Amino acid sequence: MENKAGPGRNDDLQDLFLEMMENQDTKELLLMILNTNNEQEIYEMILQKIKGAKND
Amino acid sequence: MIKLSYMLVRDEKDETKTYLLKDYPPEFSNLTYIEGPNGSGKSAILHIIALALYGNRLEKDELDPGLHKRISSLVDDPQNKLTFELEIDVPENGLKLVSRKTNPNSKDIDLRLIQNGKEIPYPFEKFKNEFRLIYTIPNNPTRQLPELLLELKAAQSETTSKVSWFRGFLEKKIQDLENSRDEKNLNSEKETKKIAEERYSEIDWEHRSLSKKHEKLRSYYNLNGYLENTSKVANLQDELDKLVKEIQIANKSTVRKCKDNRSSIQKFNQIMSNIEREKTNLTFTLSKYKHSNLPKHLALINSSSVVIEIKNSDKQKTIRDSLIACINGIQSLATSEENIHKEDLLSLELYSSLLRILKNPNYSQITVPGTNSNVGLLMTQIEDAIEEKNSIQRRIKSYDSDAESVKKFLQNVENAISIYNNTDLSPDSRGMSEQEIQLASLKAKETELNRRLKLAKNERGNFKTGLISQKIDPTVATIEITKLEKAPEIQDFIKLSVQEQQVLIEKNERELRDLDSQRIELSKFINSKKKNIENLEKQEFDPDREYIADLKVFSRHLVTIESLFRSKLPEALKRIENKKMDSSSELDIKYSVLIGDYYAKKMKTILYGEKEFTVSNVDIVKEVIKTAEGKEIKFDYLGTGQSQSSYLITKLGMTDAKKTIALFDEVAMMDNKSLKPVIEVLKTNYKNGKLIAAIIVQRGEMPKVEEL
Repeated sequence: MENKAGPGRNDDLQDLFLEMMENQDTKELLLMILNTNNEQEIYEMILQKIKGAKND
Repeated sequence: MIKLSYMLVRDEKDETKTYLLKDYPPEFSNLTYIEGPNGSGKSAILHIIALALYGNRLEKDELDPGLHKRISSLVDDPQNKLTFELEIDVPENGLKLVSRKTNPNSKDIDLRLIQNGKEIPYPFEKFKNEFRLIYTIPNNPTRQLPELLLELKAAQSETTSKVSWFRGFLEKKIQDLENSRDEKNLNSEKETKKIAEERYSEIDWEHRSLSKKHEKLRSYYNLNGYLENTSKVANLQDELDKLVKEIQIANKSTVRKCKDNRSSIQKFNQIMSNIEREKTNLTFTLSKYKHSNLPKHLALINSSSVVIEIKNSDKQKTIRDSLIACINGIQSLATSEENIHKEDLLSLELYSSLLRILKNPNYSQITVPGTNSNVGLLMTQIEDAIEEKNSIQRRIKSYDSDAESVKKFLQNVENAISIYNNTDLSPDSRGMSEQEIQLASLKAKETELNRRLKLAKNERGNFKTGLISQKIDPTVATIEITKLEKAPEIQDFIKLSVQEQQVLIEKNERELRDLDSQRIELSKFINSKKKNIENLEKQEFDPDREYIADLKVFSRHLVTIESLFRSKLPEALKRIENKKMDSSSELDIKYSVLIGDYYAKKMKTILYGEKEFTVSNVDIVKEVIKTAEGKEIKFDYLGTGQSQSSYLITKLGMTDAKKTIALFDEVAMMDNKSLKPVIEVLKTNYKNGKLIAAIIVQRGEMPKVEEL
């Protein structure tokens, strides 16, 4: 997946969409997808989040 | 700096006209204000710049349809032959856009970006991704709403793609993890296999043990059955041989004795079949006798049964007595007639002799003495007399003949009575003599013996087949059973009856089959476990496997998000756009408020009356602009110039990183006051690199070009 958050990025629009998320988890997930360069990175971020939650 | 040169040759049918940039300079500043009268070519500058930057390929939501038509016709209309060269040079950004159309007969536009000395071809998609062409004739913000919402729709669609794409990626990852080696499952499979193998050993031992015992029981059962049936066959065969001899003897004597009886029966049957017919004929004959008591006897004969009289000859004699009375009556009648017609009968001979004489031809013409008649007439009279005498004679003879018929019938009845009384014709014997019955009984016994012998032979054959299947030689059955009888396993079995033995053997066979099928099922199960274990051991171990459940939670979140962006938000946006918002839908309300906030951020400020207000929210449905100062301004209340100002600022309010080229035509309704904030935004955007060029065109009396 090519990251399109470069030239076409619109933070206000992104904020609008994030506000439409029903909870914090989906908000964080959407944020990761919209702002991260490739899928593997997003996946690793999710794994880190899971591991972090388990350690807590 | 913006450099533009063009030549448009237009076939106007009555003449071909050539249009060039003549009233305005070929170079002007990146931020330019152009003024001029109609026909001076000021709008043509914007058309050609827009065309040079792919304006004809924008969607109808992105460009006013009227403008789209005008710039497209420059290349699409065969009457127009256009060539141009455009350069937009932005030294501050270190970039230069060059667009050329050198072939008047082609639609091709060659756009390139020159940055840091490198010239890069910029096809439409690439250009659109990094640049934004705003070319507009400002209007009321409400009429521009679809254009403004387009950006939102595109972002929704793009987000859907991103989420969907990543969801696919995550699902693949989860699948890979699920296919990775599961240590827990592996150990569980090994443990299950071990338990199954232990159970298999138990069942196998049980099967073998029962099978061994069953073979011995079956051997005994077959040997015993074979020997018993062999003995039974021998005994039955002896019995049958004796019986066959007995039948042969009985057969000979029965044939002889029955021959006579059969003859009598045949004769009796013959008489009986004729006697009724004879009786009918007889009654017809006797019916002519009307004198004396003959009619009475005839009635008695008619009303009585010949068969009953034959079978009860001692008690019933009506027919026979009546027949005798009839014979006597007829004979008496004959005698009486003979006596009455004695003279006539005696004279018959005389008449006959006389007639023979008179038949002599010599006497034919002689006249009989004492009469006038001749011999011929006398002969006729004699013949009549003879006929009369013959008639009497025939009648007397018929009496004799009838008496003879009655006698004959009486004799037949007497014969039938005699045969009936001397022959066994009773229905119980079915027409068989005592000897025949005895013979039939012997033969029935023979049939039964044969049946039992056949059965015993079959049984013996079955047991023999059983022994052969057990590889036991039937010829040494006695020796084998003696050996077997000592085996401890069969001591209880020997005590059972043959039927009980059979039941037990069948029960054992069922148990063995059941155990065998259990062994097969367990064997299959163990093999499947082996394969599972092999497959699991082949798989790579992945330490992230333990997070599958957590990852699935994220996958479900993605489904929710994708559904939101794929359908729920677009549908809500459509309702908001069409002012058919569902007031009971939280989603619609929240989305419309957030969209209003978003547009407020883009508008920033508006001029209303003499003052500038900060926009805090735009209610698209109610068409109301809410300001930070608490003012609510309906779109309709905005002056045209103010509306245009708001609209243009909104269009320029994009916060993404695309570089904008803004072309504003016919800002006629805007005075300096309302135009000023637009120019300020253009300058600010130019300074911070977001805008690379802007041209504002206004009607004026004289052509004029100024830097903003």
